[in-house]
Amino acid sequence: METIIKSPLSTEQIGQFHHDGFLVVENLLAPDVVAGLVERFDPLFAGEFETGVYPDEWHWNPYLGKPGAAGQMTGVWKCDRTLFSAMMSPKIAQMAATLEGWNGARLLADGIWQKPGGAKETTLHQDSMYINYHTPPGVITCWIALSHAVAGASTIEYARGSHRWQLSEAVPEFHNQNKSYRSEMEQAARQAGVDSPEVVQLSLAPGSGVFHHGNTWHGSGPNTLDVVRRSMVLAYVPAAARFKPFGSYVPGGYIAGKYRRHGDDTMDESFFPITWREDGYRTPFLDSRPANSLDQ
Amino acid sequence: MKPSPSEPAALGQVPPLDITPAQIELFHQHGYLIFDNLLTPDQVTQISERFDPLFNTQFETGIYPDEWYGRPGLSQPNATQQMTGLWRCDRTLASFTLSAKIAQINATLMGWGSARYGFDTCWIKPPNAPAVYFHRNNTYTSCIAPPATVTCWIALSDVALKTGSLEIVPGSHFWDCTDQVRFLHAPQEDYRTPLWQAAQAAGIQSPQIVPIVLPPGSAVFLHGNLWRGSGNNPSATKTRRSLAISSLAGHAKFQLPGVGNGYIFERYRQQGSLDIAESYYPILWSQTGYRTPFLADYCQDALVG
Repeated sequence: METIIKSPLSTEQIGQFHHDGFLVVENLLAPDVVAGLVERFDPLFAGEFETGVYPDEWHWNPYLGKPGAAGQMTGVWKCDRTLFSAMMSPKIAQMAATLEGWNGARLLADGIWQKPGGAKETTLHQDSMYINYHTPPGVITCWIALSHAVAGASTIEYARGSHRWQLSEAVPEFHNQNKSYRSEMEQAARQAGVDSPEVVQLSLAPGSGVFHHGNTWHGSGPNTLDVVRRSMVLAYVPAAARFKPFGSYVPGGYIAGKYRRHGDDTMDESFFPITWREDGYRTPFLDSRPANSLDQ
Repeated sequence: MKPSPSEPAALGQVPPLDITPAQIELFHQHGYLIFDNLLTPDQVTQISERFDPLFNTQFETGIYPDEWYGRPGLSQPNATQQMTGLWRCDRTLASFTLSAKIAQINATLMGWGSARYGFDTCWIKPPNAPAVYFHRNNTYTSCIAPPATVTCWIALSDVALKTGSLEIVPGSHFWDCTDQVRFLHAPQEDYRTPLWQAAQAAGIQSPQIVPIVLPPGSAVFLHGNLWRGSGNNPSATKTRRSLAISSLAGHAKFQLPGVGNGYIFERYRQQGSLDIAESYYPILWSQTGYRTPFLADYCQDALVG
């Protein structure tokens, strides 16, 4: 019997995603969920990991960090049950898969960001620069505001339509460049025959989010206001994804490449769980942990 | 001719150890052992030259480390730079940190028949770098069975009190006390506080802190239960550099889920299994000659000809 699954997004929304390379979806997270997530930021950046597991990436802490610098953490679902609960949402994964036309979504990586007043720019980049070691290809990212994201306070910004440009060489440094944070994007635009790329700075309420295509150029400007901008990021690949064949290591494997086993192209669900698939499958260990507050 | 991975004789073959039974006895008695001239000056230079690219986000393999403190632009200028999981980022460093020779010494000191990678860490303390809390490395391996590690700590610059030396407490590996995972860098209190607490628990009145003094290329082997830490680097001009290579027992497995503190190790646990996959934690040396096969394709062994 054919199962009919109601799309969480309208045809117009899907069309807009493919036209612009990104799509805003409001109210992805309820206010109490947002509040619960924000409460975890200070302990996490201070190295208090609820599960005892350290994150894959941890940039900035209050002891060695420069005051006012941006903080970034990756692989947080392993460290904190509140974050885990939100990050394993089947609802968000279903939206991601729907926008890409996949039959399911596998969480490749998560992240949290905080940019206090005075924080520098985050260089514009394409996620696919760093995530192209798997097949079938493709990556889609959901960026969720956990505070008011507004122009001047380091909100996320996109070069509209840039997902149709060619994939560029990897931008080597997000945090600490000596040139304009848009310069690499502008160079890519020129190569694509676009003289004046349209940069859109989004205005999002806490809990609202934006999905972007893996090739869409994005980043954020400096935070010139006296507020802390916080966000959560979820990057998905197709549920069926496997590593491409590689030798003794995954060149450019960033973080995910560390989890490939030699002689085995499986993207092990222990590390890359399937958080939604249209046939109802979901990586079993996800639901043996605390219930997902987003989908109750 | 390149040796075939299937030939045990070609794998992990290292010359006989130049460690005597008396030295092994000293290691067990005191919890540490000084080993002079483990690396040549050229090898020290070869290692040290790889650090600047790493901390500037230029990873030779394109793989990021497991742990990283002291990132330029995001950290205070005097922040200690620490990076763990070097072998995945840079194959020159891997040729040292995955060396069968160091793994063999580590295993022999501990009485293990084989040793696998545990963690490899560089420590760079610039002038005025802050202190590092006293701690025991075995505190960080509590999700592993056996929960034991041993570390080969190699000086890459002159290590002395005037550059924020490594400090140890001989014999403290015998203490009946506890430690906890904590953020080790730049403590707001006396960096020796955990040591004082442990000493009190163990009934030790006046623990003797010994600063390690080493020239570049020499090393100290540290028992996983030995208390160690370091004060700030009081030098106005000199940076202290070191490389720490820690092994687990080759037969190590994960504890049951939920037992111990996961630290980095738990990230690599495969659901439903207690095995530690060799892809993530390769066997570096074994009495049988076995060494995880992919290593032969990944990097050379800088210390085994």
